[in-house]
Amino acid sequence: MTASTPLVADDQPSLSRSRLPTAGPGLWVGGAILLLTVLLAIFAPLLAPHSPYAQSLAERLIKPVFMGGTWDHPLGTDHLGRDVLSRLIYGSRMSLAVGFGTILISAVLGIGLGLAAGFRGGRTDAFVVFLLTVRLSLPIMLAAIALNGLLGNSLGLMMLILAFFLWDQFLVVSRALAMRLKNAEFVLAARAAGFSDFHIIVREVLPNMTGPLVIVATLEMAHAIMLESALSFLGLGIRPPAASWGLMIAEAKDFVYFEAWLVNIPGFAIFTLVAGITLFGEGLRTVFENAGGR
Amino acid sequence: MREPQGAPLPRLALEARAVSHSYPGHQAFKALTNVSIALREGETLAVVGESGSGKSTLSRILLGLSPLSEGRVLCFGKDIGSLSRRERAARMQPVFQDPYSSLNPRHTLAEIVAAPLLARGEARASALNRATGLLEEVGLGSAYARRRPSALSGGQRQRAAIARALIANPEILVCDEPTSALDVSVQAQILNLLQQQRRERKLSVLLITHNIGVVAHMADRVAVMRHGEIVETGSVRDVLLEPREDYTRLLISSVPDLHGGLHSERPWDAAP
Repeated sequence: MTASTPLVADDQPSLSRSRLPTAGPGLWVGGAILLLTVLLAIFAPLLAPHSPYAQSLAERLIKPVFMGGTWDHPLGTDHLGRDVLSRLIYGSRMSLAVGFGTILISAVLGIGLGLAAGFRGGRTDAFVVFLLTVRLSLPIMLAAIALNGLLGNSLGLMMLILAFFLWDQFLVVSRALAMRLKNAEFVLAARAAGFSDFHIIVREVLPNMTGPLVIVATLEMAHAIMLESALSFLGLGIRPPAASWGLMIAEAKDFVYFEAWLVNIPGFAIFTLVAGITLFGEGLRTVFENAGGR
Repeated sequence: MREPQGAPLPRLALEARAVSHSYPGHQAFKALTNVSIALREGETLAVVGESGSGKSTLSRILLGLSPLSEGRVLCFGKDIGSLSRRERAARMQPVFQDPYSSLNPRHTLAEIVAAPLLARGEARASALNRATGLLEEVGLGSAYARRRPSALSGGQRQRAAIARALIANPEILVCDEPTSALDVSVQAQILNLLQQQRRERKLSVLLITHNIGVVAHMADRVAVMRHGEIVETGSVRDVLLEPREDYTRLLISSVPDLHGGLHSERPWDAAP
């Protein structure tokens, strides 16, 4: 084909790529903490100095190295003589598995409902909003304890139960975005082009929601990790002898007045990971806001 | 209504028969009341009126993108309700007002332009190839094919939107204020591109606009809308030179006059 009009020099052609908006230090600090935890979890067998399950009553309650312990057990040993550092490293697997697994399930649930409500409107929207109201009226911890008590506990079940309570933010955000985007001209153009509603939702609308939804995912992941720790602390989460940070605190609670470090170390790990993920989410929010809300 | 006499009239490409539409709500707003217009094959029909007169609602109903409360819309004699989305897409395509929101920011220009071909199942590689060719035809080089809309100016984006509307060789183009979001210097280029493509492809064009100058430049016939109703229809020459309705006269007189400034009057605003 020949160019029937001269190659345009229209109004200021701006071919330069848009610059990456500046992010605060939170994004990098949070991202580093999250990345470090992921690496710990992946390479746990290589990094852990001991087996997380090996007990040695002769070596129980050895203090960490910074409190006069030995480098053989840098973070000391617990009441059964298990190496705390090794359990901490393996425990990161549990926290991340629960975090990622839970947000995956709750995102599918919440985004699916949010898109249906936002796009279809009317009765579908009213029904979904009713479900949301029911969910928001449930006290998460009490209901999770009840469900755990009824159904038993395993990693998979834990993720399902937590996901059952953590889809609301995904729903609220995706519903609001769907309502806005369904009348966007590029969506109307896709309909006029002949695409099906399913294609439009998956290819046109969802890619324009990723920014806000990733932020929700990070914040909900932190929430899920906190809840898993709390449930494990109450004896309703991961079963011993598996290593979980919440379980480590639960097992150490009898020693809290005499060997407080046994509680503080896993507590600090939970705090650091949750803070890191939250910082990362907030950093992403700043980036997307600077980029114009996308 | 005043129609030219003489030669037999071409068949109707797009027709609205007694279309009414209300937006739901506690106080339902009636956007269109008993609107009947007919776009003949090969002509450009302008629908003109001030903001809020129902022009855009009418264009979306004619495209089958909004439901209508009453009446019928016919595309080459067939009720658009009986046509599938793909059948409608093959016959008519839109060019929207705002090129900043009518192109998906996540897609490349080639993907955007190829959309009507991809939607009807054409192989991706050949669809993208044709899209690149058409981008050149509307004045954007093939280098633009892999760029995203954010790298383009308003006029360039509107060229891409026009390419998307043309790629599936539709018979009807529905242009909803295609230049009103653009700089004055770019408007003429886009109008000329539309005119040129209309002639080459023998398109029937429904042109929604509030700009009388655009009507004079582009259209064969014009329908004047006010408060959701058609108040006057006729050839551009008749309506612009000898308007029958006060409202039409007012629209014409609202065109900025470089010598005398704006001399608009709104007699109905002063009505008791």
